[in-house]
This record gives sequence, structure tokens and C-alpha cells, in this order.
Amino acid sequence: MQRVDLRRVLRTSGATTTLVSVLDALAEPGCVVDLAGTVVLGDPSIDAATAHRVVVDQECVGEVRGGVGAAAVVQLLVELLQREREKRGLVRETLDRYKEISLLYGVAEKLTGVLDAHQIADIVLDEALRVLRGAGGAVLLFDHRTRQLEVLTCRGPKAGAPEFSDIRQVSPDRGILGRVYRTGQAEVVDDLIHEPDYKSFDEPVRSALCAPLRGGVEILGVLRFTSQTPQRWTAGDLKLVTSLATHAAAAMDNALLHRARMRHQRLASHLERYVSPLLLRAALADADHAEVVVLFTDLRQLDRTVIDADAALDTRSAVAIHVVLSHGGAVNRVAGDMLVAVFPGSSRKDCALRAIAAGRALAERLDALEIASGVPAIGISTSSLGSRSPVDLREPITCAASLQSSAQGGQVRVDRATQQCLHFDVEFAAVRPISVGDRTLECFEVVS
Amino acid sequence: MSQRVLIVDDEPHIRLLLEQTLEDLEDAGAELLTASDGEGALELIRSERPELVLLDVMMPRMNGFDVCSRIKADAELSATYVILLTAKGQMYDRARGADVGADLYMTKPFDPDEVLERAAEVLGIELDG
Repeated sequence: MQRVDLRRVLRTSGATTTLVSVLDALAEPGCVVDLAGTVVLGDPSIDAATAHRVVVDQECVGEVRGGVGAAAVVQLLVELLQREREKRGLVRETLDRYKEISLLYGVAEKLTGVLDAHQIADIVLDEALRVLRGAGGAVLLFDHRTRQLEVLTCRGPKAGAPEFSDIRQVSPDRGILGRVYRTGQAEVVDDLIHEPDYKSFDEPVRSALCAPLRGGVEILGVLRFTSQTPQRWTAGDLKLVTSLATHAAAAMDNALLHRARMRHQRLASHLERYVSPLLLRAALADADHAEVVVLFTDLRQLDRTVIDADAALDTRSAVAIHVVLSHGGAVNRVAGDMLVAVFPGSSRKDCALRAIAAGRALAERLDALEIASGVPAIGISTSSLGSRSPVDLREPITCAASLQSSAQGGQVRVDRATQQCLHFDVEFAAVRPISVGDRTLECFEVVS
Repeated sequence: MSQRVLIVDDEPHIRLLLEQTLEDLEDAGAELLTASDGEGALELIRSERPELVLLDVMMPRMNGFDVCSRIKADAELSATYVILLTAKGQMYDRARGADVGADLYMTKPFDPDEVLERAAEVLGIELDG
């Protein structure tokens, strides 16, 4: 209910002249006095014993001092003040809508061109909390790897997000956040005490308003606002936050697509050094699940001395390259006689099977060469490329090289990751683990 | 002497919106004045010397650009801080506002918090919260 300030109303309503005329026209002079006892209209010398209270909607706002006609002046004032109260209520409503419009315009403007998810969350929360005063806010995004709602950022009074001070993950199966995420429906909760998964804190959050971040057909996460006051949120707040969530989700969707594109480009620029464009395209068809298997061998492992070592090496290299390419791999020859081949793809099992088949074929073909036969030892290591860290093949190459150096001619040795994805398809025998740097690498030998 | 803010707009509901927006300044001791046209505004500015004028642009007979131009051309009034508050949003209008010496150009619908903050800043009034 809007409070009435008698002095302010008399000044802004333009009714002062009329009231003064009425007071002057009374048989006995009168005056209007505010709550502080100050005369705001009329003759200040009127006796206080003849005061008539001015009550508007059960609130006393002043009094009229005077004779018989004072009661009529009171009625006139009450009518005036009631209308003023209604008008002020309408003005307040309009100003609140102006604030909301400004918020949405401001957010839309600031989000333009922003491609960082954290920055988007910061902008949305900062702008919203200027209007939703006294509230706390948080933005959570669903992480497909952890299968949890991850807290991206939170703001506001400590009590606005106490559960997020230590906890950075929320299960999508629990609580109001999980419910909003699963259903895609915005919700207001008047009092969280009644929620099944509610946890109390020293300064408990009582009411919450959550809206889904809907990016196209997918729910990306949840936008949440909380308050220490129960029943804080209205249907109007729900509409506003839902609109805000729409802006935020569109920007987030863009940002996530941009991040995926940048990751794709990073992968491509790394793999371009190792993989032909055709294979690269196939491998990165699903960049989130790109896998690569590295095969390492020594082309100089010969069963006899040859006259022309370089020619022998060239012949063996040509054979090796042909074998690798025919098994869907690509070759990058390192340090002259060591061969590194990569087998990229979206299925780890498929990549590993191709690598092992290539290793076996390589051993057979090189051993059968007349000019320079000898059975090479093969090392195979598996790595996943669909992670956030930049692509780096040094570790799988190092592992594959270590496996190869521990093996004898004709043996194909693999790491635990390769063995695990193929243990139903290929027979392996565990062999003594080897040291690689400060790590111990489990080794498995392919049983012919 | 208390500080004064003059609100100039030919539409009564806009004057009302701005008065209610700036109520906190009144509580802090400032005086709010209103005018419904350009000529009335100039008379009040010369007689009351407000520190701040919130000036609509689209008014009959004398528009806000003309009023601002006359304020800024008068040596005794040129220090008055003028905020043009208008529905006209073209770059040309903003440029014209700058040409006539307006200190700030704000568009409608205005952000009430922004108007109050800026007015308080101009008057040197510290608001609560």
C-alpha cells in the first residue's frame, strides 16, 4: 500500500488553491495539519482542541482543525488523498515495468557478441540483481561429461546461495533445480522448507524462483534466484526471469557452439600434422568423442645385414606406409627409422582394432621382404581427444614407444586402455609393467 | 538554499512519472519543479535557477532543443545541467542534442534507477541503498 505524504500530495495535486478557498469560505476559519503537527494549509492559530483526524484506508495522515465545516473539509481531503494514492500506485506499477523493460534491453545489448559462458552468466546476474534487489542468484549449466548441473557463477547475499559456497555440482535428479532442468518449466517456490531435499543453513534461503535455460530443443541449465523472505516472488517476477532466461540461453547456446567450434579447430590444427584431410574429417565428425590410437615401430629391426641400408629403409618405409594407410591410419615418420602411425576415429574400439590389424600385417609384410626382412616389435597406445585440454599426442607416442622398446621382434604390445576396449575381441596376455617417466605402465601382449 | 530540479514535459503523466522517480531527492532536501512547455520552462529557469533540468524534446511551439540552446547561450544559465529525455532515438537527434549543448541524452522509456542516480550525482546527493 502506498504511504500518503499529505504535504507532498497537496503540493503535487494542484488542489491547494481549492482547499484554501474552501477553508476561507467556512464560517469558522480552519487549517490542515500534517502528522508532525505542522500547518500545511490555512490559519496556524486555530485551537488544536477542534481537530478532526484525516484517515485514509485506516491510516491517519493528518488533521483538519476548525469549526463545523471542518468535517466537510476532511471528507474532501480523504477523497483527494485516496485518488492520489491510487494514482501513485499506478505510477509505481509503470515505473516497475520501465525498470523491467530497461533490464531486458540492457541485457540484450550487453550480451551481443559475448561468446564466453562465464561472462554471459555474470552479465545476466549483475543486471537482474539490480532490479531484483536483496536476492541471490546463480547460473548452472548441465555438463554432459559429469552428468551434473555445474555452478557456473553465483551472486548476491551469502544467504542467496550458501549451498553453492562449497558445492559446485547439483544432481539433475534432485530438488527444485533438478525438477526445473528435467521438466523445462519455470517454477516459484514460496517456502523451501517444504521441499523434500531442503537443507537448512545458518542464514536459510526461504523462497526461490528458477527458470530453465532453453537453447533450442535442449535445456542447457537453470537460472535461479533466491531470497531469505518466504513468498518473495510473484507471477510478474516469474515472467521477467523467464524472459531473462530466454536471452541468456540464446547467448549461452552461441557461446557453447563457439567453444565446440574452437575445440574442433584446435583438434584439426593438431591432427593436420599427422592425418590426411580425409581421415581428419572422418575423425572429427564427432569432435566430442574423437579417439586416436598410436602405433610405434622401428623399421631398422632386420634379421640380417644389408648392403644398402638406406634403400632397405626406404623399401620398408614404403611397405609400412602402405600397410598403415590400408588400415585407415596415417603415417608420420619420426627420426628416420622410427615409424609413428595414428589411427583416428570416433570409436576407440574401431581405432584399436585397425591399429592391431595394421601391426600384425606390418610384421608379416616386413618379415617377408627379400631385400631387408626382419620382424619389428610394435607398441600401441590409445588416447582420447574429446577433452577440454589441447590436443597433445606426445603422451600416447611416448607410451607406444616405451611399449615397443620393451617388446621383441614380432610382438605387439598395448597399454591398458587398448586392452580394456578389446578384451572381448582380442586375446591378450599380461606382461611385466614398464616405467615411463615417473609412472608405471601396464603392458599387455597380443596373443597370436 | 535547497537544490532545485526542473521537470519539463508537455505530457502530465510523464511529469508524474519523473516526480515520483525523483522523490528520494525531495526527501534529501531538493525541490522538484515542473513546467509543461518551453516558454514556461525558461521563465522558471530564470526565476528559480535550478541546478538540473530534465527536458523533453517533442513539445509544441518551442521544442527541447531550442530550450536547451537558449539555456546554454545565456552566460548566467549555461552552468545548468540539462538532460534531454526523449522518445527520439536517431543518431541525428543525439548529435543535435550534443550540438545544442545538452549534458546528457536519455531515451524513453527511461530507466528510473538510472535517472535517479544521475540526478543525485549532479546534485551531489548521496542516496541510501
